[in-house]
Amino acid sequence: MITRILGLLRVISSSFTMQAKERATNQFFVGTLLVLPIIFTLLSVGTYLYGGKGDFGLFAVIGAGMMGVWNANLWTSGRIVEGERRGGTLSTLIASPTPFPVILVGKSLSNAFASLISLVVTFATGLIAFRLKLDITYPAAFVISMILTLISMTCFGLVLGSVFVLSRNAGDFMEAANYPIFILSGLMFPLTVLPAWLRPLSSLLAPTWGNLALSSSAGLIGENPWLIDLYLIGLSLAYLIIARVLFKQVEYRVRRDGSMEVF
Amino acid sequence: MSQWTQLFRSGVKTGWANLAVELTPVTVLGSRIPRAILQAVFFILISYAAGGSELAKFALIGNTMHAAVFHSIIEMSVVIELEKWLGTMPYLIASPANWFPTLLGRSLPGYVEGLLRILLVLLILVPFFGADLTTLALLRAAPIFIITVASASALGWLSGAIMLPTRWGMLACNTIGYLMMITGGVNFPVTALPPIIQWFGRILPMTHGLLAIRQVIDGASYADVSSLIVSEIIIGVIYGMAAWKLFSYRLNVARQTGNIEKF
Repeated sequence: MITRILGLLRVISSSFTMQAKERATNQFFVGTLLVLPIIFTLLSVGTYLYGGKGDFGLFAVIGAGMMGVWNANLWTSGRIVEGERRGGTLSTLIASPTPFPVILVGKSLSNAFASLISLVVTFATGLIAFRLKLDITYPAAFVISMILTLISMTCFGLVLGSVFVLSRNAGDFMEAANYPIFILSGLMFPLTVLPAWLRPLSSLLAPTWGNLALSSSAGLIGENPWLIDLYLIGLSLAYLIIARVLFKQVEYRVRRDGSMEVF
Repeated sequence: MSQWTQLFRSGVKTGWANLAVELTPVTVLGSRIPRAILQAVFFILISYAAGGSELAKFALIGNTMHAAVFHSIIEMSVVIELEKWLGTMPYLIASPANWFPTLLGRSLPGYVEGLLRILLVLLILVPFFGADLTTLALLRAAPIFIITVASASALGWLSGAIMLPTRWGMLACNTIGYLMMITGGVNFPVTALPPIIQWFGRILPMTHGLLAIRQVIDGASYADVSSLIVSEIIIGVIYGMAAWKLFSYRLNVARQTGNIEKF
């Protein structure tokens, strides 16, 4: 049992490293982690300052950081399967005795932890460009919420990644999938702006709860961050189960149709 | 002249063929239309949260324009970069035919798609965020929308020509497109920006056109905004000339150094 666990950890560690190396030359990753967070922070905080709501500054900074984290997850984790297929390595990975989902977890976690850079970038932008006061009321809760948010978003990315493998237009769908998530999660505006009938959808999304957890840890809203963290853990488990079921079905389908290399 | 027309036509046909491959019902309904609409909705909602319905209406007009401008910048850059990615640049260099009308023709479908995006965003979002915008006012602004998208297209060509020897063209286009949201007065007026950024905004396409559009929608005559329209046209012509000059230079260098396929 211990040998098996150590073996799985070794696979996760190797795929984590491999993904980090691939990512270093990926322009989408550079864009989503370094460039877009700066622009989105300038845009959103600028809009709130112009509208006379400077106190929304920290909320917008956190939201812009979350957008970066989500973008990185969607563009890289969502594309892992597609990338392996285009690279001609998907069949080898699926045929190997190591479960493919374990490799996916290692690669996705690698992206998720690197995506923390976007939060650093947005906070730095808020500090330098707008001289915002970036006080975090509960630092410990903030750090834990951030880690749980990353894990939860990674699991959500795995769900989408399993579906994207069915289409050669995954890149197009990813572009389109960004903004509904940003909107439904209320990443840069209060969720109360959305119509009431949309809010149940918001509650199914990891970015919504991640944003709430970080905002409450920062003292921007009066919720208990630890309770939201518990919800994030539950949501992550649910995503993992869904991703596993979806992946099994997709794997069966591509094996049955012989379409693993077809796109 | 007839040869130019013929080359232009064949360019349009090639451009349309490229686009038609991407325009399947699934990508149009599942990606292109949702992307254009939802990106606008997201930024309009930020403005709504920041400054109420008045700022939301401001952002509606800005984001309508930006939906087309952003698309055009990327598409025009692709027109130039695609030669490199598809390996057709040597033919372009070796052929005795003038490449200018061909590439101009190839740009047309992307330009038309940009204009269609304006129509789409307005049709869907005006009832929600700009109820007091009249059809007549929007129709009066239509020629300025057309001019502004053309002017922004020139920036796309220039970006493509600059980034031709690199692998970072898409990142550059996306960065320019999003930066123009800040410098162009899309979500809040240009006058709210620091003077140095205002200056950058004024030497980029869209800024003057968007100002003219807003004034015409508010009831100004064409004569009132003529200086803005002329500025937009001049900026577009300058960027266009710079783009084609640089592209021509790139082709010459590629011919001299034999690095046509190297990037």
